[in-house]
Amino acid sequence: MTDRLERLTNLVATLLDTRRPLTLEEVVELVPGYPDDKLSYRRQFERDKDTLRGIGIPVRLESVDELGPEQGYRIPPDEYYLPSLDLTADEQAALHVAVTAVRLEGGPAPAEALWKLGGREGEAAHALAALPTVPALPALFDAYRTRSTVTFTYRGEGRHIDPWGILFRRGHWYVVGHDHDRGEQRSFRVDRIEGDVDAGPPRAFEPPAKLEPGAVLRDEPWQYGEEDVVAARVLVDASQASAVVGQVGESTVRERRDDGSVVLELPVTNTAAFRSFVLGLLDAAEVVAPPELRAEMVAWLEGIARGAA
Amino acid sequence: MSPRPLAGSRLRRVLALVPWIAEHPGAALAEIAARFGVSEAELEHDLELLPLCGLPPYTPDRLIEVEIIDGHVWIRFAEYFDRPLRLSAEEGLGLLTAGRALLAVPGSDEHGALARALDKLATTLGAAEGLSVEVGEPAHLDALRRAAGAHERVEIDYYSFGRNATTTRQVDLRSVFHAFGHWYAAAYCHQAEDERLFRLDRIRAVRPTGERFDPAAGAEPDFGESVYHPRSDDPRVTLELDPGATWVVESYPAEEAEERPDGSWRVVLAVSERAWLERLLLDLGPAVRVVEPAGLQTVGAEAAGRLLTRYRN
Repeated sequence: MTDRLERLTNLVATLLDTRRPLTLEEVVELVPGYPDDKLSYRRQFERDKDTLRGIGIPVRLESVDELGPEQGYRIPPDEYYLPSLDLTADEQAALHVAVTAVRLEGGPAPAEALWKLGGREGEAAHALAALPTVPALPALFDAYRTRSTVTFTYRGEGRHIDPWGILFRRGHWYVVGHDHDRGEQRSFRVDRIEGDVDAGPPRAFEPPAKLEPGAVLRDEPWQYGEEDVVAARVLVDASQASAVVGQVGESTVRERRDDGSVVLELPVTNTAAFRSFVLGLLDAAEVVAPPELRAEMVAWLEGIARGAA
Repeated sequence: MSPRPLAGSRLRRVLALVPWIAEHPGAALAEIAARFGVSEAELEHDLELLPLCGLPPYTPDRLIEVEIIDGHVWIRFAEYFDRPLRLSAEEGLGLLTAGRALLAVPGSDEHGALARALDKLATTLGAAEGLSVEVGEPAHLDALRRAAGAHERVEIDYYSFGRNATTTRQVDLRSVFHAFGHWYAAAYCHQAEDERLFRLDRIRAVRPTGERFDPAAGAEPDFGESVYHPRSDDPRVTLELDPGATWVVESYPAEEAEERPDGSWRVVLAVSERAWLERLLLDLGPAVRVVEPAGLQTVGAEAAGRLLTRYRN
């Protein structure tokens, strides 16, 4: 019996080399190793086709000719071949360092990541970083690069998004894009996408020129909400000031006081998340404005203080 | 074991090996094996298969020719495998992410070989602009990485989030690494007399001590997702959570969690520090009650009372 790997290799070569789609009968006739019985060879070929597609080989089913109903298989060379990257040896070595220093969890093993780029050049690096991955990420990345509109469920709602960019920030992956249903730019935490991402046809949109996903992302918890924006001011004591400014950004600072404390202004559309943030700083922070928000905080704290009285 | 993933994985390797060898006639078996991360035996096993492969009608002139002479390899008549298969979405994403993450680490050469390689890769993938990776720039990253590399003992001021207090300690830094959004320093702490993990965004100051340490007994970085591991002697607290607060069950390693018929939960958490419990109780407000121990039932109310004094001035 022919070795399966041998049959698969011959199958790839044959489907790549053929100028017109080959019917199933032609394939099993041309490529050695298929059983004679129709039911068996059909099943065998289906398994082989799944294996090829599973490793990313574009096996297409097309009409054999324009007139007849007959369909056949081929691998379009322009979809199969990796265009030449012309990487120099030092560039290959730099990629080798990168894939050994940075691990994308659940991604390709570092040893295999560079197979198609000519394998490993130079020395490996010590582990420096680990990034999480989420199931929806490859599909979103693919949709972004083919410019396909995607459909997915987010917080129980169906969304239609033109993915303009993908961003990793503070431990989370985000997709930024145009939201068809809301008619404006939105960002979504990729790990909160429910179920599968479905991509539409390619070249459906063009992302804005010079897009920097990081610059357009609204990613603080207190911005995750549909409430009207409130400009909330928080006083943060010196003990936590530099850490908090590091977290929320220099642009939020409205006042620096002589004792080292700072007043920050945050655009809040989710007051519960904002309250969590302030309370997380315990004695080192206080809501100063607007008065309604400050009163809400006082009422919240009074409720807890009364609870055990 | 199913034969399918195995065949797929070997096929991936063969389809990558052949173009490289064809482009580098006479390459040494040892070099090829090292490049592709396989043993020489596995490589020869892969190469033995190729002379049986080719195009119909599989006459000698249609089969791939493999020649191995004195440990060097030539492959001919495999024009259809001249180029490797395109990168899959996972592979492209993995390579770009790793590269962009490394470039984002402060101190990287933004115009070096890695940046050039990533430009070429991104162009090929059609993903020039839209994938960005931020790893953050904690204040003392450079100083700490340098101290770890040079095996220099340092003194740090460290803010403990759990205890809401800053302490000063001498540490021997084993490694500095980024995991899931935060930078950490794995170090031997002379105060604790044990290995400790420090979050860089909570290190408030770094001072050299002028002393060096022996790096021999180093611990590998722990990329575990949950960096907090409860200790057996941490106090246990039993909480009653309203149905709306059940995210606590998913967010913290609860030792026991029991759902009630009305949708509320009773959970037991290890609580090593009072400030950590204060935050949780203040955040959840009326949605949580401390059931046990009795001595901690008023922790939330006391913390709320303390915070209120700020608002009454």
